[in-house]
Amino acid sequence: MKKSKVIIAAAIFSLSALGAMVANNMQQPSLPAFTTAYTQPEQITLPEFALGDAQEYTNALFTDKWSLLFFGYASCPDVCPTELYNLNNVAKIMADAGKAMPQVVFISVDPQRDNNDMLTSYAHFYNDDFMGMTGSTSEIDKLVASFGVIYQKTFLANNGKYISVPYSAPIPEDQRESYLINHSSRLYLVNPQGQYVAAFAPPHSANKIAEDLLKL
Amino acid sequence: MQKSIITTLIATAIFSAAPTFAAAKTNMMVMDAWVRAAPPSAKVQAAFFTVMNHSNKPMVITDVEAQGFERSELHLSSKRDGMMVMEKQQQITIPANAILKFKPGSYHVMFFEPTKIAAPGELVTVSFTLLSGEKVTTKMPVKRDNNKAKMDHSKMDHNKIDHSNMKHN
Repeated sequence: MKKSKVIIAAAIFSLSALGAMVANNMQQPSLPAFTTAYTQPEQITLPEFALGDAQEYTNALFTDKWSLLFFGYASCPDVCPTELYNLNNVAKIMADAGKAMPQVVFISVDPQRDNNDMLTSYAHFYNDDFMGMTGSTSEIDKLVASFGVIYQKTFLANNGKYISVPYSAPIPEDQRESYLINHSSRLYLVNPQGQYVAAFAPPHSANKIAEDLLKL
Repeated sequence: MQKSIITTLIATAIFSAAPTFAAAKTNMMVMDAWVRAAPPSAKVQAAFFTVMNHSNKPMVITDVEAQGFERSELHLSSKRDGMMVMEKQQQITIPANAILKFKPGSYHVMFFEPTKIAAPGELVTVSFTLLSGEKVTTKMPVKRDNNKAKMDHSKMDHNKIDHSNMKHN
């Protein structure tokens, strides 16, 4: 009686261990050793989200293809255009090498001023295949939390100093069009299982990004 | 006929030299200037250039204006607390006999509230005000990028690239 209990316990234990191993393997498809990208210690499954005017951009956006994500805003004159321009150069290198370019997704964290139509044309200005989108701040923040993005609204106060506040915090009336946004400028790599697996830290070089993407 | 060609040539020479030597009378020289082309839906544009101070005294830029834009500011992008931070600069000093590069991810001029976003090929007239009271005006061409040569592939090792999947048709 006692012995059979031990056997059952051992069987349950080994089965669950096996299950954990299988689950672990399923969650972690092998990644190449990247030269510049930082591989996440654990692959992060993204939470359910919905962006776009008709909530058309969901987790399905990231299935069956590699994706590169960048968070920014359309009133950004320097960092965001540089990034998108640079990613177009990455796309050229990938095309020259006959390899598939991951889909590029530019997510605006500034839905108060940006809209989806404008972000689509914004992204297409750099490359017809690039996507631009936004959504409600609560939906954006789900992704922001998963990727560890930080962003804040910043504006010039009357004393000539910049004040940074959370995006949804109230700001003076005369600053509602002219505020700037401080934001993370990492480029995030999402695998075809929709998991965040690696990030490229700035400054970004098209050649270095392509070097790692060619290993996929 | 010949005369008109010569006139055109002279006009072209004056015109093309204008952006570079617009500031020839002063000690401030603006070179290699360009305004980054932006999507028509954009609300801002940025300008990049190199400033040379040919004097033995520091030169201080205190203000900037651009035709076709309601407001222009001197800005500096930098990395702080894990974010890219962009801030207006009240003034920018170029040390005596020095060069300062305004470039992506660093110093730049930001143009706000465009009448219409400046398209590639157009010229934007930009005026700088110096602390000395002097004004320096220059014309900056709008370009998608400022690469002089085609992309540099020299650092890539082409032997390691698998071309077997390339579509040849």
